[in-house]
Amino acid sequence: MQRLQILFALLLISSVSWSQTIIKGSIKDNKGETIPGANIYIKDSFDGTNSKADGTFSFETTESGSQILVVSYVGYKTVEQPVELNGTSLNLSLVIQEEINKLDGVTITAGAYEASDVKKVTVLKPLDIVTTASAAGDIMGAINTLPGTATVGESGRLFVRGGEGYETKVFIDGLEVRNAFGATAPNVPTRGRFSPFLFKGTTFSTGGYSSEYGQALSSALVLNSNDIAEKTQGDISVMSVGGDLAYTKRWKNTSISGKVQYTDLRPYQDLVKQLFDWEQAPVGKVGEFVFRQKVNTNGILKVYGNVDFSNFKIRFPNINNGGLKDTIHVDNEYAYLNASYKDILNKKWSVRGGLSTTYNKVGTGFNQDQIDETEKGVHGKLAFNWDAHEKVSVNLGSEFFHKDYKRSLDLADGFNGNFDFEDNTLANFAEVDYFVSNKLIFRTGLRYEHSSLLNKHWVSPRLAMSYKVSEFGQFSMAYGRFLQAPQNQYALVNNQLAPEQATHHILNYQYIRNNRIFRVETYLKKYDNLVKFQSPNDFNPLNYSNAGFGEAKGIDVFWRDSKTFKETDYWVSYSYVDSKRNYQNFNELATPSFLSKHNFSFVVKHFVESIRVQFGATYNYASNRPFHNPNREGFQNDATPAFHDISLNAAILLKQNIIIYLSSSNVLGRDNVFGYEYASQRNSNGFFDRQPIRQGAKRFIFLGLFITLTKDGQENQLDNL
Amino acid sequence: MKKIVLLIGLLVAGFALHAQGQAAYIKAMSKGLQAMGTAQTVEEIQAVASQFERISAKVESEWHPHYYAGLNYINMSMRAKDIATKDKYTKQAQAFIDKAIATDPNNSEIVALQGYNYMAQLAADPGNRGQMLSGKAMKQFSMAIQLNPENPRANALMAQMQFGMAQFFGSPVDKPCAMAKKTIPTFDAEEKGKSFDPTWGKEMAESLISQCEK
Repeated sequence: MQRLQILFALLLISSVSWSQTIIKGSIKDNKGETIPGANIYIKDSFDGTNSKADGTFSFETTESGSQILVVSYVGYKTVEQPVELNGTSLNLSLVIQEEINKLDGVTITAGAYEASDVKKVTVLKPLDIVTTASAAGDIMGAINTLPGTATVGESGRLFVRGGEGYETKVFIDGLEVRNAFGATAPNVPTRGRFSPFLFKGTTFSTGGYSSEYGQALSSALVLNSNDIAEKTQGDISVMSVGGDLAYTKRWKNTSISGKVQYTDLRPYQDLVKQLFDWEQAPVGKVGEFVFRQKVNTNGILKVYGNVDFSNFKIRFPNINNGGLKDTIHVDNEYAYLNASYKDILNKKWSVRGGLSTTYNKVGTGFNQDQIDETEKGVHGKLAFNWDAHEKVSVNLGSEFFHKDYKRSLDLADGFNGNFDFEDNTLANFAEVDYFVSNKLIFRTGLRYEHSSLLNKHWVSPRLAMSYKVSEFGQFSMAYGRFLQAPQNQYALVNNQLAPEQATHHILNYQYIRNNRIFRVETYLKKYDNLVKFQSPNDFNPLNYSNAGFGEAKGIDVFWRDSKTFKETDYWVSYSYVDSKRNYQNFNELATPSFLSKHNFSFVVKHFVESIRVQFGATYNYASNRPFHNPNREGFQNDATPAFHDISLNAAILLKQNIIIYLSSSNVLGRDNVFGYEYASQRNSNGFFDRQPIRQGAKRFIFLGLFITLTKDGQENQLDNL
Repeated sequence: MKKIVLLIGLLVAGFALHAQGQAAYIKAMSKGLQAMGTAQTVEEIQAVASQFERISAKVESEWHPHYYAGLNYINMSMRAKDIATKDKYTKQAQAFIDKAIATDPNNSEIVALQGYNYMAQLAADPGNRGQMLSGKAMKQFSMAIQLNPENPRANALMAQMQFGMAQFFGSPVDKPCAMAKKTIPTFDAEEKGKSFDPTWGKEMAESLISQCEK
């Protein structure tokens, strides 16, 4: 008996290795295409093989009885098929089905230009923002070489598809940034406040964006900040306009960075002749703080703070005062704080949330008059992504916006006054992505907004779809209604004005292949409820209404190629826009003065490895812009000359950790004219005198030395230019 | 008595089964490593990668199968032609490297492999990725060297990166070249086929040394 048991046990063991079964067959996908390279094996064993070029396979297994045969192949659903192994060879025809790839498959591209993730082929790369010659290190300057934007040289803001500068809204990690551009005076161009090296990715949407983004009529610029810093390092920058010091400390799951920057244009402006008459060139002091904490495997907490103090004094000739100069003095205090948290809750749910606050105080002295404006903004958001189904993703969330705006006047004629308004807006959004296949996606979204000031609510629909026509090409369409509260200066006069409204229709085709990108997009945008008034100097609320309207239609073309020429990368953007409005104090439907019909940009970068220098050049063109000439009949009846600018730059990698950067705008020194200011009274000859609105200087030359200090001395600040 | 005998019998059977599982694991690993030595084409490397992938699916607790599955996908990426395909393979490699790190977080070989995967991603599009990934790769290599100063692969890969950098910046290459040369005796001391620990990389070091001598 005992022996029998041992024998039995031994038999049990050896029986495993006795029977061998041959499994063969073929693998196809649901379209009947053969699949080479699929992994075929018996589950929980080492036995298996790969399918050959013709999709066939064959292997032997020593397993027996009821087993499971697994077929796995990247991009396809894994198939598990029960098989009975008893020594008789099996011949199987297996079919595997393509898996829906929500990340890398078909994506909505209508309206959106992405600069992100080094791994994806995107329109812009993060480094482009700092190596574009005409950008001078400003994010907004680089974005301005993309189609859909217009050059408005006296402003520096982003004017998108027939929209004004205020219609573009900036977000950092999904949270709003108020006053993303530095405070300035009329006709003095401004720059974005945020340094490009804070961000790993940028999405610039020229329309049709997701229901997650509201309070923007024309465009959303979404900046995604860097994750935890790579290593401990110090950075020193010495520039022709100032300098900065930065230090980053990295621990295992935490990083902290601090930076102080001082810019002072006075020495530069003493050296290089200016066309503007600066009494005191801009001086700025900026402090930045970045904190990153990895909370768990996927959860990351980000805190970013920015404090910015700046001021300048400038004199402009007053056309109504015999050319005597007005003195404008701008003093700005700015603070921005952004805290966000992102985590994956489980396989189906992930969460994002955060809070941002903006404080902006601008004191403007106009001769003897003093105007102080204070804007406080708070934005809170909580959003969830729900992977509801293999083919369905849902994005939903709630947010609130608080805005508090005050203006106090202390005028030389003795007038004193305080004006203010406050608004709380609550918004909910929901958006469903439905992946019909890896070629076709539909997106539907709704955004609900309620304003406490008006005690009214609005529901805005969003729709989009994309269809991949080939491996490299796809069509995309988008429709949506977008709302934005009236600008502060109008809400101050009449706080019962409804939000302005734009409706976008977009059709896009994109072809991406091997570092070459071609995009063409056509759109129609309708404006309604635009603010309308008799005169900008009228403060009677009854004279302000939402009766304004307008339309913009056009076509944007983009071509980028970093493949054809060795070490050379270039892109070409062209935008055509036809737009008319009857808004503000217009008395008929007309093209506004900020609009140029044709905008063209050419950007090229070439790296010369032997001397380690990257050369860059940019050519920007904007066709003539209409303006109102009171010496002629009609309205918006004259046009400026066209705008041309050629900018050059060079980045020299002197050593591993030392970079010299040199750039110049408008190398040809062209005197671009953006418009004219006309006198309000006729002169003795019966004409209205005028003076041109021009550039502040023939050209802007920038020279910088960037040094990075690390323990091993192997980092540089190329990101930082 | 009967019960004891039965118990012993079952124990023996259990050990035998375990030993057989172990034997099957050793056999499967050896087969994979042998095939890896001769694999040249993308198809052949894919077959090797799949072999380790199968072992990796069954034996979660060992780092070797994850390591070799990852390594072979990196090697496939290095041989692939277009960026999209290269990225597909480095992405797969990363999944196995993550598994390997989870089983053995402070293993110099795995940390070096992570750096090697960054190097492969960099090689797919150096113009755009060089700046960001070279730092990441070197950080992994220096971590790997810290964990095991003798690791010849970590040293050779680090030497390779530093050599490229020095060449680019026109600075002297003595340091990386000396570093590469130092790895050769360590490579030679590694006994092949004795364990499943990695032994690859000598050819890479030799080719760097020959570049140094030019």
